[in-house]
Amino acid sequence: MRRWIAFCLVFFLAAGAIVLSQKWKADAPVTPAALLRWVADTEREATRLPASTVRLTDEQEIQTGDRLAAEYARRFGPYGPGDKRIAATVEKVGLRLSAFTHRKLPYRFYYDPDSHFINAFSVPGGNVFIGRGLIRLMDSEDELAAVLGHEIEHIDHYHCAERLEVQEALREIPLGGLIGIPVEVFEAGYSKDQELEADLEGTRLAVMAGYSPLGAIQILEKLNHLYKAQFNSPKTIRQELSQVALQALDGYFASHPPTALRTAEIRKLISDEGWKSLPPERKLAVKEILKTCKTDGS
Amino acid sequence: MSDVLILLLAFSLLILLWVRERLRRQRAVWKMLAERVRTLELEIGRLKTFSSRLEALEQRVLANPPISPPPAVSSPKSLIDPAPEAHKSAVASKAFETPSHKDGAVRHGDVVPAAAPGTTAYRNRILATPPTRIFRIDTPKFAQTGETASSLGLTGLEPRHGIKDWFKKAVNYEEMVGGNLFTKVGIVFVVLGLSLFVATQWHRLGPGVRILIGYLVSGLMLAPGMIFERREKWRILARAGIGGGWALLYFVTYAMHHVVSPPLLASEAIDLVLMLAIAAGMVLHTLKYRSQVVTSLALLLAFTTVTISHDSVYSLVAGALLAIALVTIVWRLGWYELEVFGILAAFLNHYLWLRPIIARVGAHHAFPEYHASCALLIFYWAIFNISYVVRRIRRKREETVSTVALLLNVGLFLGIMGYQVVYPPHTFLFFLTTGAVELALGQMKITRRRRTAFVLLTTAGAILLVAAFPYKFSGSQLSVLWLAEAEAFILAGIVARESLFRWLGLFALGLTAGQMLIVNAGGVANARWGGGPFRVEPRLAVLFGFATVLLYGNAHWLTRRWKPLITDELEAGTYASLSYVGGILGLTTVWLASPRAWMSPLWTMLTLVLLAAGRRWSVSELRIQALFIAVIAYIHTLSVNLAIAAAHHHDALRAFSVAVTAALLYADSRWAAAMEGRRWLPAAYRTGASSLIALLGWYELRPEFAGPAWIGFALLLMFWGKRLALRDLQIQAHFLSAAGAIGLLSVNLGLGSLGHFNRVQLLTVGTSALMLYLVPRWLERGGSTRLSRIPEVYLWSGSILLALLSWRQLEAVAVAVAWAVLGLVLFEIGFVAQSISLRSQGYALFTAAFVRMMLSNLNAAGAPGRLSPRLYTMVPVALVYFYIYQRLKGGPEDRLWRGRLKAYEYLCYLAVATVAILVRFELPEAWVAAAWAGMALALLWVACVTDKRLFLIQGLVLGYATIFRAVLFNLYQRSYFSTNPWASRPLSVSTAAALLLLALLFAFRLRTMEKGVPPASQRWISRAFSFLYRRPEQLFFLAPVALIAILLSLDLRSGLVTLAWGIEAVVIIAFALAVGERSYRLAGLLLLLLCVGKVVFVDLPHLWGTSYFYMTLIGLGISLVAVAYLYTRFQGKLRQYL
Repeated sequence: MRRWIAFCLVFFLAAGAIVLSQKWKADAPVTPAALLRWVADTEREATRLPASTVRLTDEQEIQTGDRLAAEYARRFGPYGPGDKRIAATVEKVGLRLSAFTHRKLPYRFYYDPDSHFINAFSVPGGNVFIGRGLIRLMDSEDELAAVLGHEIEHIDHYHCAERLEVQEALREIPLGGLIGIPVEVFEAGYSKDQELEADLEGTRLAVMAGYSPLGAIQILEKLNHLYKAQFNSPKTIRQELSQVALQALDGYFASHPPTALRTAEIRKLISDEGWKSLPPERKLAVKEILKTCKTDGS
Repeated sequence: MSDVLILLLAFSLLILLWVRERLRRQRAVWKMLAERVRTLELEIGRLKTFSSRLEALEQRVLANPPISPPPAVSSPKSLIDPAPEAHKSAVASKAFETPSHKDGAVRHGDVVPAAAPGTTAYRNRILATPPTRIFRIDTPKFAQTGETASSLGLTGLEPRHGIKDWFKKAVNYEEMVGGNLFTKVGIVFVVLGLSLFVATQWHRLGPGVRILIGYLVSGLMLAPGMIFERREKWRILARAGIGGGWALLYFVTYAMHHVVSPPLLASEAIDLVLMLAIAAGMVLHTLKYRSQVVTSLALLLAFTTVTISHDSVYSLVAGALLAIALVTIVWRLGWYELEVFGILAAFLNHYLWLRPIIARVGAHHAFPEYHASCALLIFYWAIFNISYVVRRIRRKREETVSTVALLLNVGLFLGIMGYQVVYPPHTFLFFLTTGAVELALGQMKITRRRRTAFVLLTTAGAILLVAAFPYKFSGSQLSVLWLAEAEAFILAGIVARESLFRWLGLFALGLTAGQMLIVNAGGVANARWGGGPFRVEPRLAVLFGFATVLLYGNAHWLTRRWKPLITDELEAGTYASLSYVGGILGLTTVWLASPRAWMSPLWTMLTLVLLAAGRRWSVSELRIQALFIAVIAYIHTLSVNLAIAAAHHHDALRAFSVAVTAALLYADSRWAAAMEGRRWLPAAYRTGASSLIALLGWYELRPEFAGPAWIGFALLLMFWGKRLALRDLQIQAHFLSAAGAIGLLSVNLGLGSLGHFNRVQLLTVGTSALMLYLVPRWLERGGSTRLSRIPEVYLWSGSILLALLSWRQLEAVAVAVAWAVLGLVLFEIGFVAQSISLRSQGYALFTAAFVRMMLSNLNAAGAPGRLSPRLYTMVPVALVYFYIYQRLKGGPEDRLWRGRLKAYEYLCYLAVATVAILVRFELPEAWVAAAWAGMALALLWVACVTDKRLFLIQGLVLGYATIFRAVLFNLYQRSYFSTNPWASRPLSVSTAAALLLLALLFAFRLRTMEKGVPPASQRWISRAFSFLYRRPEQLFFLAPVALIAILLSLDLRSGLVTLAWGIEAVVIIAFALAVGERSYRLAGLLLLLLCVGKVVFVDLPHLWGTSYFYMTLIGLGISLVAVAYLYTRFQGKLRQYL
């Protein structure tokens, strides 16, 4: 009798879970990304302790980072008519955020006028890069603050420095030789933990700087929309399996956590922190420039 | 009509040959019988005489006993003597003479050596003498002179002389040809030539001259003929002249009015009277000679002459008069062969007269002489029928010839009437009327005197009455008439016991069937296949149907009914072949009668009938035909019926016709009893039927319903296969199931898109899966190992389908749960039913669910304010795993991974791993370590309660994970800006440490003190794990202690760290002393040493001069003293531990 009770309990509980799933329709892409990120995070955690013992000093980090930044900045194309204003806006928001960082580093903000560059990354020593393509997606300064805050926190939490140390160890070259590291190393993203940490800390940073945390959610959703356009939702089992296989290869070294997860974490943060009255969103001043100015025909 | 003429001539020739053959055989038989009778008579006479002589001798001997040797008995000749008195003395005197022949044989006239009368030797000797002719039997006169038996008053014993006898009696063939044959041929040529001359060359000479010439020649032929007929030598020539003379005379008289122009005799009536007189004179005069040949020649020549010259129907009256004369002769003299030729001549004459008329006006068109022609034909028919009825038959041969005459009469009458008919439907009435009259004639008292006549007339009447209807409904096809004639011949052959009649009938049947197929059916085939519109031919179908019934009746009923009659192998084989012809005709009947779509069902029905009949009467030919027709029906169904709906999708006609065909094929299999060496036959029928139904489903149903339909059908086949013990049905079910499964995989499971509800997909795949589960219920068990696995295949297929269905239908996060639920149900059923297969499927699904969770559920993100999808999906799955573990604990010990792992252990690992992973992803990152510590505590508790090392292992693993997480994450990961106290590092790490320490309660119970030394070959990690497995309390103490130490070092100011470590060390050592654990004490001591070192090398340079330094020193000192106290206090115990 007890057995049947247990069976019925389990059965109906599971059935209820199915019903609930069908009703609420949670977004759950079928990818090995979660497992891969866990593995990556585990590897990072395994290297964290030894990394902390051999961590670069701030001076070393700034020196190396500035050199890298200068090297990357040389690849930028010429500024168009509105690009200087955009660059000034970026620097303004960035400096506002950096006032609240934990590590007091000389933060610098670089604007890449390439419209195809839909990304942002940071290099050690306080250097943050952002592309025109990403800024074009933004409608408010809060979104810009969220992105810049995210990148600042990668520096603030030593993510960039650790990556530098890993490259040094992998390539077996002295620190001075790290100038030749390709920018893709820093563009490719970090572990899930690091990304989520940067999301949360960057959002906190933005809020502390007076921006709305909703900016982070908005820009993430816009990026998600772009991502889905590139990787369509599978329609069949075969497509799903193919995507799992492809993303298993692709996702190990690149890609951020699923956007849904990131936005959920941020929403949870908003709830946990009790940010009830959120500041109003600030319209992005250079939006008009981005709409009208065509520096490269795009 | 020329065909009819040719046929008639052919038949006539055959009849002639037959007559010759029959006569020859009959003569031989009579001769043999006569010889035997003669011999018997001789023997009887001899025996009688011998017997009387013996009696006399015995009496004499008894009265006077012999002194001397008894008198020798003479030869049989002397004993058996037609004149015993005359030869008495000769016998007595020669009684003891012995034969003097060298060979010792007793010959005629010999005296047999003495042997005692009455003795056996005596009698044997007498009887041993050859039965030589004792009587002198004179050869009858008729045998010597060639006279007919009837002329001498002898009937019944001697055969009549026929053509062959004439040939035999001829001195030589040269004389026969020159003296006999040429005579007759010459007379015929003369008569014909003169007739043609009178008829055609009239414009050169006057009519009177020609008539005169004709009469003169007639007289020149008649007069010498009459004179020389008396002489034996000139008899043949004279009689030919008489016959020819009379024929010419008759024609010339006829020509006076009907041929020459202007007519020499104006009055038709007078001419008719003159012709009548001449006909009577011809008959009376020729009868005088009692020569059938002469009279026949005269009559036939007269017919011929009339034929040549007639121009109106009234001229045919001459023929009627001749017919009357002929009938009279036949009746009086019994010259039945003459009647046969007379019938042929009369009707042929009429036909030749009709032919140009019909050619002029066209077939079935009225012509002025129509009624007169009908009247004349009816007259011919009637008079010959009357002749047949009233005659007196004395011999079988006469009956046979009469039969031929009757058949010819009826056949020719109907044929020519049909040829000239103006309104073809009236022919139906002719058939009926003629048949009724024939039937009525057969019932007359006068007819019933002769059984053969009664049977034949009745049969002919019946055939005509029956054939009238197919004739009518076949569109007045003459083939019906031919068939009726042929059947009449066969029946006549049965009644008259004449194989030739039967052969003629068979031949006619075959010819008719061939003609029907080639001409009638071939014409329709050309029309249909030549691109013309498809038309049903009901009339032709009636004809073919009639022919079919006829052929089958002859082939099977007739041969059975009169089996003793058909002794010839060739004849029997021919009847058998009729069956096959009948089958072809039957096939064609359906082909003609039915619309395209209905051909297959009707053919299959025909197959059923043939099979039933074949089985009932054990006729293998019918079963072979049935198979052939079934194959044709099957191919037709494939090529025609299934393609019907090209224009009409979902046409009911296709469905109905194919379904009916299939049903009939199933029924066929019931009747197709396994023929010898062909046990596959019933299975072949069933396979054909099943394939048709399967294909029908493919065509009729939408693609998404075809797969389920096939599986449903397979279920049905399996059920009936089991019930009826038909293995082939089960094999078909396997194939259908496989096809259905492939259809489901390729079509149904592709409907809609992933994660979206699709009702059709759900219903079809779900139903199919359930059906696949049901199939093994009726599967035949046993057989080889591979066959015994077939039920498992079905079960696995059903489960795979359900799993794929849930994959398609459900949201991504729900798929794993659905698989777990499905696995739960399968496992439970497998548990109750003791089915390892079902349980294995459950295990597979559990594994799949776990993998699915890793790939999908972990990526799920819920909406704000709602329960996390990971939580409400992974927890039920974990519960399912735990439930299964619990069930397996007391149940079957299933093993997985080739027996390496027990199933319940595997499920337990899955369950714990699921919870652990859920914790990792669901809880705030700071609390993962604490949660794992709590799990480790719980696992150790369970290990204690259940005494299962399995939980200890998992507890240890989670313990390690806790440490790893706490050290590498909690201690080094934090937010710079977080204000949430619950996420602070001290709280999370200390909680984790506390939980690990709490686990010590159970760890101590679980440790084993066995000192099993691991083998030297094991790696160090294995040895280390083995140690920790045996000593879990080490991990669960030292790890949290270290964590606390590190936490203290990170969260406290430098000076306070040393103090804190000191306190911690004291607590450690105190605890170590309490539990008696040396390693703990060493750890405490080590910590204290570290404190001392820190004070000296770190605190002293950095904190010198601060209050922290002093406090640190004091605190550390107190700690050291306390430890010393403890060591001193428990010295004894320490020694004991050491």
